[in-house]
Amino acid sequence: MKVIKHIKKGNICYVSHIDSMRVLQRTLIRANINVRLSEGFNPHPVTFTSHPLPLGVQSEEEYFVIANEDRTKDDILTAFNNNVPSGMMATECYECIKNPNFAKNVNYCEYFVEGDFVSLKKDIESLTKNTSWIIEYQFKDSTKVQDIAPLIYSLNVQTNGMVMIIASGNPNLRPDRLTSALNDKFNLNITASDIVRTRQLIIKDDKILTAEEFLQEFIK
Amino acid sequence: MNKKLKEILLNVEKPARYVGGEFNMPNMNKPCTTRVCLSFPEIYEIGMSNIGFRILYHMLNDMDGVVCERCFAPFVDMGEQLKANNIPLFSVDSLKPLVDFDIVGMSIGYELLYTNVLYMLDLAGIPYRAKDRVNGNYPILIAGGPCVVNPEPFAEVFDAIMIGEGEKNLKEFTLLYDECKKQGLTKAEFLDKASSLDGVYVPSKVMPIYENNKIVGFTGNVKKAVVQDLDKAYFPTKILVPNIEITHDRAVLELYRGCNNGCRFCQACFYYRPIRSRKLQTLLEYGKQLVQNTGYSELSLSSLSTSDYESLHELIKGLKDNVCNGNVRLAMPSLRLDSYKAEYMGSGRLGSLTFAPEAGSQRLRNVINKNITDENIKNTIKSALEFGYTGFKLYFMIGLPTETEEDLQGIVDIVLLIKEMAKQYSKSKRPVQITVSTSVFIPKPLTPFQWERQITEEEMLEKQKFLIDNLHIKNVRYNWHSADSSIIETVFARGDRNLLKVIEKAYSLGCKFDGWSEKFDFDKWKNAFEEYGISFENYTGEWQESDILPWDFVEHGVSKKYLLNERHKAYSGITTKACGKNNCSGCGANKIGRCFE
Repeated sequence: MKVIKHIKKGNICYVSHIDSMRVLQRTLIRANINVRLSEGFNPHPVTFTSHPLPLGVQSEEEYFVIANEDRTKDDILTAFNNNVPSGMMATECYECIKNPNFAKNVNYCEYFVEGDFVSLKKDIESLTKNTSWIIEYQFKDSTKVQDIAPLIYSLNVQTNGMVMIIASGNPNLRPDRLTSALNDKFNLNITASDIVRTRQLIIKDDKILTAEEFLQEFIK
Repeated sequence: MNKKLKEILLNVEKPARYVGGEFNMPNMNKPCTTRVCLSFPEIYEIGMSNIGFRILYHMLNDMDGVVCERCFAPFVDMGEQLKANNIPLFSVDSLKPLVDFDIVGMSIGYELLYTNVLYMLDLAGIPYRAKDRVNGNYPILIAGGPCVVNPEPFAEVFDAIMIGEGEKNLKEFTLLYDECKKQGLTKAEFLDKASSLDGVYVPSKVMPIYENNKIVGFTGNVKKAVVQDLDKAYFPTKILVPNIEITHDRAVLELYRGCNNGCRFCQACFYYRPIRSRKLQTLLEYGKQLVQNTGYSELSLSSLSTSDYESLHELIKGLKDNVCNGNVRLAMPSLRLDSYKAEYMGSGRLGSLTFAPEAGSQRLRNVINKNITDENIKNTIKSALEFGYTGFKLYFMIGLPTETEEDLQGIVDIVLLIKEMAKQYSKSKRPVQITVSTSVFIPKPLTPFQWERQITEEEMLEKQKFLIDNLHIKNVRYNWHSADSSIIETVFARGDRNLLKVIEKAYSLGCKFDGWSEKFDFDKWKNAFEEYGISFENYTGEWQESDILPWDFVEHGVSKKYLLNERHKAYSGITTKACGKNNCSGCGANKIGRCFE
C-alpha cells in the first residue's frame, strides 16, 4: 500500500469530490502507476481517500491510498507529481503495510479560516463553552436541524484568521456549515473557499494524534 | 479571484466549468505580445468536446509570443449572477475579462447558437456590432466554425470571419496581428492587411450589393483557407483533460477531412473538401501519445465517414495491438450502413448498432445520393443480428425533396424488416429494440439542395404524425426533432444581413441556449420576426437557380455549377459515384487543394 499525501488548493477546490476521484484515477493512468484491482464482479482499482471535502473548501492535507507494491515511494511521488493538475500536488508518499483507513479512523479535522475576527475573539471562542447550539440548514428539499455544540472541539481566533477543530467522520460537522452559522450569528461573510483543511486528527488511547503520527504504526 | 466571485461560484451549478486548472494547461505566463481568447457559445462541457476548438487552442498557445485562453457561455444561473453583480465575462484560464484581450474569437457551429453569441458579448460588455466598436478600446472580434459557410446573419457583429481551416487562416491572422501590434498599426490598418489573407473575410470590406431588396452582387470575394497537407498539419496530443465530465470525455483522433460520398443534403461533405487524410503511421503515433498524455480510457476515431478511411483496417488493428489493448477502449462512431464490418467491432461491448439510411425508399435514397441499396441494408441487419446486436438506432430525414408518403412507409418497412429478420437471425433471447429518429430536412448552403424549399410546419407535423401512428409497434421507439426549431435553423442557415436585428430582438426578449429544446421559445422568435415584418417564408421557400445567394462571394472550390448539376441529377434520380483516387467527380475542390494526395 502506498499512502500519498496531497494538497487540494487554488481553483481546483471547485471540483467536487466525485470529479476529484476521476482526476486522481487519470493521474495514476498517466503516471503508469499500477493499482491492484478488486476481486468482485466489477473489478475496480483498490484506492481509498480521506473524508470528502465540501465543494469550495481547500486542503493542505488529503490522503489517497493505493494498492501498489511494484514501485518505490519516491518513484511514485515523482511520477504522481508529473501527472497531476498543479492544484493537487503530492507532498509525501509513505509505504504502508495496510490501509490506515482514514475515512474510518479520523475523528476531527483542523481548518484555518482566513479573515479578521480579532474583534470577535471572545465571543467566538466562548462558543465552545455552549452545551447546545442548534442550527438549521437546507438539505435537498427539506430543512434539517442539527445541534453542533458537541461537534466543536475548539475555536481559536488568531491575528490573520481562525483555527477550528471540529468533528469529522461520524459524527460529522461540515466546516462550511459552521462558518455559515458564524456568518448568521456575527454578521460575517465567510465563504467555503476561505476555509483550508490543515490537519486531520485521530483520537487513540485518549490522545489526539495527527494523521502523520497515526500513520507511523502502518509504515513498512 | 475577488470575494464576490468566490461567493457566486459556490452558488452556481458545477463551478469547475468557470475556473480552468486542467491537466496539460499550457503556460499562461510565458512572455507574449498577443493575447487571444477563443470562445464557444455553449457551456463548457459541450465546448470542450469540440475537437476543432481544442486543436486551435493548443496551436495558438504553441506559437511564440501568443497566449490563448478559453471562454464558454456561462449557463443561465451563472449568467444571471454575473449580471446582477456587474462582473464582466472572463476567461476560464486566468479569469481575465474578455475586453482585456487583443483578439476574441467565437467558434460558431450551429445556427441556434446565434443568440448565445450576443449573450456572451452582452455579459462581456462588448457592443454587438463592429461599427459600434470603432471608437473604443475593444478586442478584435473574429468568428469561425462550420456556420461561416454562410456568415451573413452575424457578419456585422465581427471585425473578421475565418472561412475555412483555422490551422491556416487563424494562424496567419494571429501572426499578422502580432507583427502589426509590434509596429504600432491601428486596428483599421491591420484589418486592411488581414483582408488579403486566404480565408479572412472582413465584412466591412466585402459587402452584398442590393437592388430592389435582392442581392445582385458583392463588393469583393473571399477564398476559403485550406490546409494543403493534413498529415503535416498541427495536431495536439498533449491536450487538456477536463476536471469534470464533459459530453465527449475521450481522446479523439481525426483521420481525414472532407467526404467522398457526396450526399446531396450534407453541408460538411462539401465544405470540408478537398479530401485529405492523415497517414496511418502518423495516426498510430498520435493515438499512442494521446492516450499516454491524457489518461483517457477511451479513444475514438473521428471524421465525416470514418469507415471510408483507406487504411481503416490496419489502423484499427494497429491501435488494438499497441494502444487499446489494456483498459483503453476503442470507440467507433456511427458507421455508414454500406461499409459496416462486424469484425471491426470485435472486442467492443455490443450495445446497439447505429446507422443512418436517411431515407426509407431506394428511390429517395437515389435522389439524395445516399448510395445504399435495400440489399446492403438487409446484409447489414443480418450480420449485425448474427454478431449479437440487440438494438438498432436508425436515423432518417423527413421533408427531403420529392418525398411522398411511400417514402415514409419505407421507414416503417425497414423497421418491420428488422423485426422479421430478428426472428430468424437474432442470437439473443432479449427482444431487439429499435429506435427511429427523424430530423427535418434543412436546405443548407453549399449543398446541391441549397435552392430547395423547406416543408411547412403543417407538413412536418403531418409527416411526423404518419410515423407516430405507423411506428406504434412493440419494442420500437420513435423520436422526432422539433418542427419549430428546424424552421429557425433553416432561416439562419440561408439568412442574410437583414437578420442581425432579429437576432438582437430575440435576445432582448430572452432567447438564449436555443439549441436546448427546453429553452427554445418559438413564440419569442415569432415576435422578433414580426417586429421587423420579416417572414420565415422569405428564407424557407424555394429559390431560383438564377438567384445570387448570400454566401456566393466565397470561393469554396466546389463550384455552383457542380452543385446545380447535382440538383438536376437528383430530380432525375441519378446517383453520383463516390469520389476516389481515379474517380474524380469534378466538384472543383481540387482547384484549392489536392484530393487523395
